[in-house]
Amino acid sequence: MRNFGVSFKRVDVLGGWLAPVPRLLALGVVIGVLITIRSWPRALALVIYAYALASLSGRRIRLSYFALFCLSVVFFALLNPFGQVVGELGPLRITMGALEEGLLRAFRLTGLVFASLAGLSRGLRLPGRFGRFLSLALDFYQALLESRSRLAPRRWVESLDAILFEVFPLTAGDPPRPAEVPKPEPRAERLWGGVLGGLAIASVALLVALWP
Amino acid sequence: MPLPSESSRERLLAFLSALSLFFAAVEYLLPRPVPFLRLGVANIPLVLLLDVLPTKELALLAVVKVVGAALVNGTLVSHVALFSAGGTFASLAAMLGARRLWGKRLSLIGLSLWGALASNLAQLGLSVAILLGEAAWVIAPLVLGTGAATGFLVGWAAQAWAQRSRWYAELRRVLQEG
Repeated sequence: MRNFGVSFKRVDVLGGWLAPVPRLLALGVVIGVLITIRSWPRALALVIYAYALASLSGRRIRLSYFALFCLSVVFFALLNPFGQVVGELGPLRITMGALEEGLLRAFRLTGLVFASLAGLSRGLRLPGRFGRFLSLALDFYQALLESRSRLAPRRWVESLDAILFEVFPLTAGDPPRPAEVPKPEPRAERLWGGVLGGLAIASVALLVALWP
Repeated sequence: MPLPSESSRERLLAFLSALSLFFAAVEYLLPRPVPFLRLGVANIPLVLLLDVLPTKELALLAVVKVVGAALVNGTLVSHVALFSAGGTFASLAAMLGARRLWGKRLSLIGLSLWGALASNLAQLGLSVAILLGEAAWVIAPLVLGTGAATGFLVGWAAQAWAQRSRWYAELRRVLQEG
């Protein structure tokens, strides 16, 4: 599946070290730092860090998409010039204030996407009644996705109908349940590894933010 | 056969949410005019369910669509999810409002056009607020023009599905009886 320049790649290496919740909490620290940081070089350092973590999470990221995204954000920031003029690009005056503002915004948003990608494992389940409902919906979604190769663009209504009747027939007495995905049993060493790994991930982000 | 219990209703709603997610996945496969803007294909189920589900359940579907897609794509804590939420809720609110105002005189294409307009305006507002600043209004004509075209296409597709789908006809019957 292609989405925002991101798709699942190989193995989730990060998932082997960290359980879903400590992993989300650790990346939450990275996200918090990214939101509060005011310097674009530090934000760029965090983008590179979050990119490495997202790659370890088994996500393939098309860097060209994010390069284009950053260029767009910086370009639009330059349309509101302020601060010292550092150059001209045709009719566009490039000012230091607008350039730094654009770079910070672009890196912050890109970093947030990468950190989010690294923080959310496929095994993450939200708690409570809504969490259970969402899990059920995601299991049905998985069943639909497995049939998507049977969608015929020219006969999309008929082919979609066939998939829907198969996954959720409606006419049968009790509506079907999707196949449940078994949850892996947590192991003690994985839990300790999760705590230490989470602390290590969060510490690097804090170090980038607080380095003098 | 009518759905017999609340858990059956929950399972049906979960499936309809999954259907919205499925359309969102299909949407990612299609080209888009501006990288961070959506075409609205994922809204087809919402357009079709507007007349058969109460507002509360439609809102639940919208929440699951936004949160579920963000979880699946791993973008829950980013501007991508915010744009998705803004577009989805603005679109749903506009379509519900239009249905209340004009009732059945408004076709699915008309509904979809209102939804697309609201979704694009919400995303433009978010662009101004967090992404591109005031300069984002420069792309407003392009975004709204493209949004109108895709809104029409989405409405047309929803209408075609409503007219020809046996599964949708069965769903309407089940919901009316239930």
